[in-house]
Amino acid sequence: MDDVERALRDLPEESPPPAIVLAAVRTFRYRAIATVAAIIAGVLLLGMVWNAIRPDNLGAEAASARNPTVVPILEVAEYDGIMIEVTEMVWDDGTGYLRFLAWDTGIHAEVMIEPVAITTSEGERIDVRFRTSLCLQNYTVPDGPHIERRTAGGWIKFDDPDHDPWGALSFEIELQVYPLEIVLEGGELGPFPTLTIRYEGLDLR
Amino acid sequence: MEESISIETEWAQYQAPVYNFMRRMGLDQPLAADLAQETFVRALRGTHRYRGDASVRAWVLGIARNVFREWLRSGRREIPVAEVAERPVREPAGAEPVDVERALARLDADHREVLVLRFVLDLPSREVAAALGITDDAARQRVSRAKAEFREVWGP
Repeated sequence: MDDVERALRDLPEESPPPAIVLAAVRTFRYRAIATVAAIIAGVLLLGMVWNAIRPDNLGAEAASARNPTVVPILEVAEYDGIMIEVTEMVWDDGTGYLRFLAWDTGIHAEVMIEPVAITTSEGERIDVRFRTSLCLQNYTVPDGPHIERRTAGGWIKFDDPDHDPWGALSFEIELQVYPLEIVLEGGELGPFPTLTIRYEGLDLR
Repeated sequence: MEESISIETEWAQYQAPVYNFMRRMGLDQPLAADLAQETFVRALRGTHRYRGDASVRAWVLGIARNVFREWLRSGRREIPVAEVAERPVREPAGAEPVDVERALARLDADHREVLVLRFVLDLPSREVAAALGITDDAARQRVSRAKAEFREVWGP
């Protein structure tokens, strides 16, 4: 052993502060939890952003059905001049796509149309998870009392492998109606009605 | 709880070598403790990467060395020689005494780390090589060059 080695070996060993490893174990766990939490938050955020910005693609989904059966329905229901019409259903191996239209023959300031549930002829009530929410707005243009009426259309998607596509259906659609006079002058809103549209089905025998 | 106790017990034996490695590389006590902690966090994260071809001590010190290198590369600061505590070990006749730690601090990081691992922490050449990720021969050559450089800085 030469003098260099001796000098280096003679350097006194220092005692580390206690619990470095314990602190590292904790840090390791916190980081692991933080990483998992960040991934979950990221996935949720992406999902929310995607839901917020994605175009209404249920129509495209219905159009790209592999084995489509198109069932004409043509049922209309009305609430205070607000018309909701279910025009057809595209059936594709246990998944149904219902096309519906809405327009306002009245002068409500705004109407939000939210499909809520579907009840099949087998009596099964299916909460609608995928649908187009519609918003109807009537506009008054500045150069005169002119009401612009628009028709809006959307889709409802539901899954029911047991449903006979030609069988009866009923649709529950919630309407959130904002009457013009209440929007302009104030007042109580709601309760928001739920409109039920019944379709008796077709007997193909 | 049992798991943390076992991990703690298992890894605690490497606490002193890792901390002393950081100190001898010239870090002050709080920073040495921080980087030692970071070393163990990485060791815990990378346990599955330990292949068993070197001792656990060499593997952990290899991680410590990488942590230290990253800290150096991050450019946060250079270790000023003046910060190193003066503890003269040898006073050559007719020359200014140069403290061993100050002499170590004047070496470049490659030479400093190899001397710390080989002589201060007393790792065999084989483990030094494993910690540095180089061959045994390369480790021996580096030790030899580092000693020569150290002698120049430290000796008369």
